[in-house]
Amino acid sequence: MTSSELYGYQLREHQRAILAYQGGLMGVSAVPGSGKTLTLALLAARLIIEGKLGEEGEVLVVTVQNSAVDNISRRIKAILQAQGLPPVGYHVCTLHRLAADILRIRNDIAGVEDAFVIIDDAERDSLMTHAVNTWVAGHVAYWSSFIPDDNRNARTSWQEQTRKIGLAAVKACKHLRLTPEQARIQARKVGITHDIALIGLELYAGYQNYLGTQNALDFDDLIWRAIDALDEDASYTEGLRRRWPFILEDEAQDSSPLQETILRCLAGEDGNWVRMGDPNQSINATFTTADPLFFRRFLADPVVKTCALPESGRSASPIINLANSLVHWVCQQHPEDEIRRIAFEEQDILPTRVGDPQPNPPAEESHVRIITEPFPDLETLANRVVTKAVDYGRRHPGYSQAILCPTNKQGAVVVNEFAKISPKPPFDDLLRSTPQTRHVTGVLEKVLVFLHKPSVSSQAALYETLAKGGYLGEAQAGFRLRAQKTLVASAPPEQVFFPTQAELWYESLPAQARPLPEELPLLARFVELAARWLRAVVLPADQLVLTIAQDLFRAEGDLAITHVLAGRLRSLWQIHPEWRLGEYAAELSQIAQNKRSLAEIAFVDAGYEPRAGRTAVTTMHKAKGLEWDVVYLICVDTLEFPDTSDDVFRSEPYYMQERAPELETSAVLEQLMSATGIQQDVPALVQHSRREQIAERLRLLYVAITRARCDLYISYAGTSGKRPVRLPLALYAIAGGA
Amino acid sequence: MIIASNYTDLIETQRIVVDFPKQGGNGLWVHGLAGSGKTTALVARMLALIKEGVRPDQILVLVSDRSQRETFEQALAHSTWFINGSVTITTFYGLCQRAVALFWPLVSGSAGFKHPELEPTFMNVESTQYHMARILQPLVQENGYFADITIRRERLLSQLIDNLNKSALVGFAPQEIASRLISAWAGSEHRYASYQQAQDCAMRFRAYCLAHSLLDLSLTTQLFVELIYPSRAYKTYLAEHVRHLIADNIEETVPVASDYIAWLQPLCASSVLAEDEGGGYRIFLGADRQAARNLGERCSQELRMDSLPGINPDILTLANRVCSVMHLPQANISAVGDARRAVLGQRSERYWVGMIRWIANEIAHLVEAGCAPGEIAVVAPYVSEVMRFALEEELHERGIGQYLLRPATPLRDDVIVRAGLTLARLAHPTWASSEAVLRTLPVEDLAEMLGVMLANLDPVRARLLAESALPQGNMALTDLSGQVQATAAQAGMLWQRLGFQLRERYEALRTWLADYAGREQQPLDIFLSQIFGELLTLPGYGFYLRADLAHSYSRLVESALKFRLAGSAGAGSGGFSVADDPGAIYTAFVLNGLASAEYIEDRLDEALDAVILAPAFAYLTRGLRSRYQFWCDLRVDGWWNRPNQPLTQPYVLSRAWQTGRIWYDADEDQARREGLGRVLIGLAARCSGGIFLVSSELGINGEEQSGRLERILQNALLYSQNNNPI
Repeated sequence: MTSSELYGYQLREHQRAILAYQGGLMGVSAVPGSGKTLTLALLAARLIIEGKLGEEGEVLVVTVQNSAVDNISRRIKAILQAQGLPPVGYHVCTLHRLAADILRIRNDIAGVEDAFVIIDDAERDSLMTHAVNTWVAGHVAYWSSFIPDDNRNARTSWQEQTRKIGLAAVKACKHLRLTPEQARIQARKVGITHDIALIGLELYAGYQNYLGTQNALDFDDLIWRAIDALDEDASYTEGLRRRWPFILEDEAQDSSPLQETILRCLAGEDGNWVRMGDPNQSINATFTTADPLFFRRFLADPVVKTCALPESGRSASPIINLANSLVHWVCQQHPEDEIRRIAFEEQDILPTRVGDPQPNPPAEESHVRIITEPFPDLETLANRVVTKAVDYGRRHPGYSQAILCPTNKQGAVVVNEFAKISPKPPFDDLLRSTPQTRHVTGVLEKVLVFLHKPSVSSQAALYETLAKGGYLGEAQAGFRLRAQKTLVASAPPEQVFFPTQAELWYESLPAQARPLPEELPLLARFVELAARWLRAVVLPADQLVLTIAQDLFRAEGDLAITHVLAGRLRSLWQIHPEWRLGEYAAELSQIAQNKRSLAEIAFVDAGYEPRAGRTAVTTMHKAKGLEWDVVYLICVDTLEFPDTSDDVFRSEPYYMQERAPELETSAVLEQLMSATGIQQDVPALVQHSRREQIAERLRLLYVAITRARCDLYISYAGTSGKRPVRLPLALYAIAGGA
Repeated sequence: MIIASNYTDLIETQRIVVDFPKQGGNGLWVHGLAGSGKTTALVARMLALIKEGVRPDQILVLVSDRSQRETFEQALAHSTWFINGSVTITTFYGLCQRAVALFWPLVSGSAGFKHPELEPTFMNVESTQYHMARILQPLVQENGYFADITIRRERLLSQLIDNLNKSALVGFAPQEIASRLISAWAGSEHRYASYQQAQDCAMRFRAYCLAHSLLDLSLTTQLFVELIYPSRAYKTYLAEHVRHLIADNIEETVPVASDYIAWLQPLCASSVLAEDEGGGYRIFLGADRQAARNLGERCSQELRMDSLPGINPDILTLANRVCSVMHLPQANISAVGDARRAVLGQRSERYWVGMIRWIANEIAHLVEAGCAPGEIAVVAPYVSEVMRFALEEELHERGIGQYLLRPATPLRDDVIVRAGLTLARLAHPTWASSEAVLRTLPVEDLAEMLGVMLANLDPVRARLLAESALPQGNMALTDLSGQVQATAAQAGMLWQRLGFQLRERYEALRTWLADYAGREQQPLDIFLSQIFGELLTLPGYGFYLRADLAHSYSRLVESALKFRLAGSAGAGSGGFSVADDPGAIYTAFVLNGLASAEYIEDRLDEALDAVILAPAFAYLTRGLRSRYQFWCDLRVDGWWNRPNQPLTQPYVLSRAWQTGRIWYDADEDQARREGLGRVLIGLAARCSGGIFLVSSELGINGEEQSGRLERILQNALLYSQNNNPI
């Protein structure tokens, strides 16, 4: 491919090399903001247009987030239609959806029923809490022996640590595809005697038992069962290969080994598989079993053709330089050898060339500042940053800003600082969920509350929500909204929605209390919708919610949120067949009020986009995939980003000297299938796990830095809780260049 | 609906069927596509036989399902002359059941029943499931059965029962279930344990039935096939009772039924067998097209009905082009049409709801142009409750009715069933202490019941009434007559809001239930029948002039009755204990969602003149025809995938399956393609005017759909445009 244009898109040189792909294995190492999505879409379209798929074959495009699914699909469709072709020949999905599809297409092989239930991470946590409670109740004395007597805080923390031990055991065993029984036998066989790891195995058994009673699968099961199905019947795998002769994978650095195995199986020995990702942005190893090592191994494989997408127009050069410096310092000068090797792939982000359609923001307008002096405490730090952001926002209303923290707890302090300011400055609390997730859930909750118990007050509350949100016509506010609400509350629900007389309820009111002519359509729509939903109340809760959503929402993000909510309600219905609408409404209320997160909805999936004039508050993890003009990174200290494996780690409880329960569980159980005998030196294993954590935290810092387009401010407080902390070594080292 | 046609109205090929010799033991094999007039010809022959003096009770009409039976029954009912005696119109299972009841003394001794002196009890699906559940429970809980299979209990039960049924309907020993499944399994030995456990459950269940004289479908069929019809006594009986055989839709019959027909034919003076060439949709219920075809080929004469009076060649050509693209056999049609002309409208919407609105608008245009709503069908691979509701509301806004045809509705999902069981709980307060699910009665359930049972009560008023009526402490509804001091003030305000006409109806319901609870308790089915007859069919109540709703209710009554009979048969040992109330057990069983396989077959009420919404399978197996069809949700994989089951396999357990062969994915793929091809040809053959192709890029849950069928249809239309040969 020599042309600098393809289907009307101007191509960079590196993109041209990728788009010349004809088949086989290819790995693409891409930097943040380098245009991966467009490149993937163009490649998929090219394969379809050039007729490389046979009569019924499709290009399979696998991504991590739903929003990327939508984004890529739309682009492929647009390219095909511009070429006068129907929008068919591609299947874009997330890896989880792919695994679920593999199970559904041949559920007989997978040993699941066709309508299996998938529980999300929130439900998984809740099941593990049940398992922990049950186990602790049966082993009180033993469980208590791990912590000092009469320390209530330690007791509460140990309960939470125990849950984490259980989840670590589930993760380790499912990664090895071991059932609780198999894991137990294997532990005996390889001679595991580690006290906490053995507790973890028991918790895994309890958890799996709860899961089994619901006939449900968690996300790890989905992947595991899908591989089993592919392993089980080679002819099935062959059939799927014919269906998907080309596989394009996005965000490959976040694929766990098992997920990689699925794609490897589908691609086959000499298959066509393009993996695109950034090994330096791998930040999910703590939550999943993903590790950038696997993607880097793939890139290093001699049979894999490797390409790069090193140019990025996202950030101004001072920010790019800072990110590059971090990578170089870690790779060359980090005090621990292992970290120098595992943390980063030593590759530079390059600014785009002159004339590129995506030029970098001008360097002269960019500011990067690492504040090396600590603030006295988190509250003061939060106050300063919020004050600065609000002030900046007033002076530069065309800019978007974000305050990124390592944890939700720190974010909550920042949100609290915003709340103290009057009038309330424009900010978005994205800590547990996006405002849109809470909004959509809140709307649905209001509908369910009303349907559960129609009354004057619930119908008025519902009207207010719908009118304010613009669901009945033009969005209403202020005095007229209050007047409409009063009007809706002026008659009982039976008269409003199912009148027995021809006259509508407001027609008998005094003239001054009646609606204005332009308000009549709003009221009519309200009555129409609410009456329809009242009639739909015989549907199961999940179907009811989907029905309501079809009437209210158009944005894919909103529908995706509803889908996740419906899934949650369906799984709750299986656990609690006695529940009725009131209980489901209460469940939604928890999410709407930001008391509970809605797992598996990424912000971008929920339709969140940074907006000019607003400041987002979220964690560095959740910020992945987003970008703002101005970014403030706070609490960048040695507790969050430890320098060496001898430092203090947040995950290790202070009341258990020299022990790291969660890390120990993972480190010990990961050896369950070891053929060469197990490493019994637990402290050494823990040291290794700590180094992996350090490496991942450094990548998290890299991701956080590369969220900024123009300005970046990095700061920290001198204490974290009661512990004194300092600026991480890496930042001291690169601060000179900033 | 087919009613008696005059001979002169029949087409040439139909007359051949009617005139086919009625003596001499000849057999005629009639085959053709759906809509070619086969059933009309069979009905005309049945009437002609009677008219010519054959005793009706010497005619046996074998049909594949209940709706087909009604076609023949209605033709008899509409005949203008007096018919002395009744024609036996039955499914094969109906025939088995009747014969086993009749010849019970002959078989009970030799079949291995522990108490041959006891009368047999025929179980319905729910009671079969109930007894299987009792066997399964300890095996799952104590022995860890089926730990590797992720499946809900009701699905597990139905698959275990299905295996037994397959053994009887295909004609192999029930002991062979596991070995057959294992020998065809392409996977690892890991699954063998589950198959062995399924085998064990089957054998335990069979032993249980023999111990308690309980007869499920499999045992009934097996007794008939192995012991009754080979007997001299049955042959003698037949010689007197069956002289003429008419069998419709033989492609939907199971292998042992085909064997029976083959055995019966030489004993009859005449036999006519009809086969729908595109059919054979009930494969997962055991239908065997090849066995049926062999049967046809053994007949002395063959007649292909190819005049296709109700068939549009353009639509069939489109279906044929799709089959051609998929490398499948095509329908045999004499005239090739223009596939592009078959498609009257085509739309791919971004959103699912947009698809529903587009369908509703197009239907409105058709109706405006003079088409009756009943001539329009919307067909999808699955019909969810959301789809039913959304389309119903959209059509309702346009003044058009919709009729949902579902193949399968679990009992608990039917609002009429739930309402009936709520009534029963109010009438039987003692049940509250027997089963966990019966302990409390939520106000929502009460509101739902009142909304169903009191005519024209909207959901808001139903809820309001339920809140006041909700029993406190016991199951008796609250007295809201105004005569009880404690509730008088509340009642006064309530009726002012609800309207005083309702008070009388509510009070009548309440007092009826209170009176009933004070009397000696009747079995559930009798209770349901009593309140139906004495109250619910009166003006002002839910079933007054509502035959459509009464249908679900009557199925509930029938189900509860059969459940009671099956349970009480083994009372004290295998059945219910003496202290148990079968009504309470049944109600809990249904409300727990375990009774999921007793399907309520919606019958099409043609008087409704409403748009039909149906899953493709239901549409095809009810013998429906439409002027216009909407093939919708074309991007949904359900068009393509068959419902698989981890513990049973219809193809492997079929007679055609070669022992020792392995079921590979290529077999699965071929089966799917053939299934899809059959469905499309079947739909095309049942549509006279034209079709609309509709899809949405995003599914109902907002997920992207890739649309393989849509792509194939596009290709098929493209080929037509390019005038490529088929």
